Amino acid sequence: MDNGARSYRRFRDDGDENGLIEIIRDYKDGLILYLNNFVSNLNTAEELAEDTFVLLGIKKPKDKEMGSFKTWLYTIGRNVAIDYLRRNSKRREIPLENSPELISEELSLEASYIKEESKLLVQQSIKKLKPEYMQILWLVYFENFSNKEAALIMKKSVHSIETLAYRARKSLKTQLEMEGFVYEEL
Amino acid sequence: MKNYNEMANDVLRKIEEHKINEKKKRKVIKRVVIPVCCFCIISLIGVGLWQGDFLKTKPPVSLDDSTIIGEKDWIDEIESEDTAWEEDLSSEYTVSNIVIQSNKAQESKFDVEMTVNVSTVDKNGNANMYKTEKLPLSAEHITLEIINKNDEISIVCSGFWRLEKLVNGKYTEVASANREANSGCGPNSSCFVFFEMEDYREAISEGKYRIISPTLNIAKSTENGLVDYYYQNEKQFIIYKEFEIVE
Repeated sequence: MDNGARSYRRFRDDGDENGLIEIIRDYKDGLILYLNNFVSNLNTAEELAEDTFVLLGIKKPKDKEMGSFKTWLYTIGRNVAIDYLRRNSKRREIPLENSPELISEELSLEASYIKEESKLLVQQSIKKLKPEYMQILWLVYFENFSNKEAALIMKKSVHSIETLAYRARKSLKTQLEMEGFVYEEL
Repeated sequence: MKNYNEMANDVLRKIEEHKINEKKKRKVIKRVVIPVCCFCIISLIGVGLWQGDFLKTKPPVSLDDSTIIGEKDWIDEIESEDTAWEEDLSSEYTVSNIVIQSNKAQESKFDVEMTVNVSTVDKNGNANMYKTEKLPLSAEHITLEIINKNDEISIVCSGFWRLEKLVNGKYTEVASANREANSGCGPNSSCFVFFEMEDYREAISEGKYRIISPTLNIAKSTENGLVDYYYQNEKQFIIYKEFEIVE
């Protein structure tokens, strides 16, 4: 599987819009949920994901071939999210976390993307962790990225990622136990 | 939440909008930058011309029958306004001489002031040396470069090859005169036979330029035109270069 690289090349080199549409179809949900870990707002995450695809369409950057296309796409998404947070660091937003519509949308998206019930339970607990832990656990646990790929996306060394992942798991374990789950069973 | 089709449509629409905006920006930039560049270039050229005095033209006053080739044969109008030059032109004949003076022949470089000697000439073509006036030819100073190589001296006057030839010839004559003076001729002796008036007249009649004075100082001209040279300082010399001016 080429992880969308072929679709992207078709779009970049031949101007085939279907290539971009395929990428959006394949990666939209995962990217939104990943970016949600940064901004904690599903609508904003959706906009950022859209911005990421627009950026891909405007700049048509060349794949550096450091990892898979998916790794590269998530790296771009992360940069877009960081830019957004930097721009809005001085602007206070009213949190919409409690909006029932948004919560239900988020849950349904998670349900459709994650599918496994056990993982869905873990995802709910992950949301209560630090953003960095949320990000690493999302990448490794839900997106099945290797430590090396996660390191590329988060722009950290592999060793740092390993340490971060260890601490995140530990923190998750504590969180799950607090909520009455048994970590080993999940 | 948008489904992937909606999002794809939005993404493609935004890409199109971005392309249109870019085109507009490029058009605006072209519309602004090209006139600004043209204006800057024209301004630069204008300033260059203005600073370079290209706009100031000096119409030359040509001297009829000037036979000096490659040499300045005109004078600025302003310079000739209040001089005897015009008076001499109205007289029957006028002879003008370019006089080059220097007291430092042995130095590697020295300035030469160029002047015009204006005097009347009698009907036989003899210059009346008593009524000679020196007029500045121009404000500029010509630099002569004296090259001393193996005791052979050559004089370089960039841009004035005729003058250069003249000065070199004069230097040779001075050196020759010095040699003769050192070998027995006294300073007041008439050893400079080749500068007698006959030679001078011949040169005038042939229309050649003639150095009439190899003097080590200003020559005294006698009434009949013979030159009685007075030796004073071997490092001083005056060169007379002549040309005839018809009415």
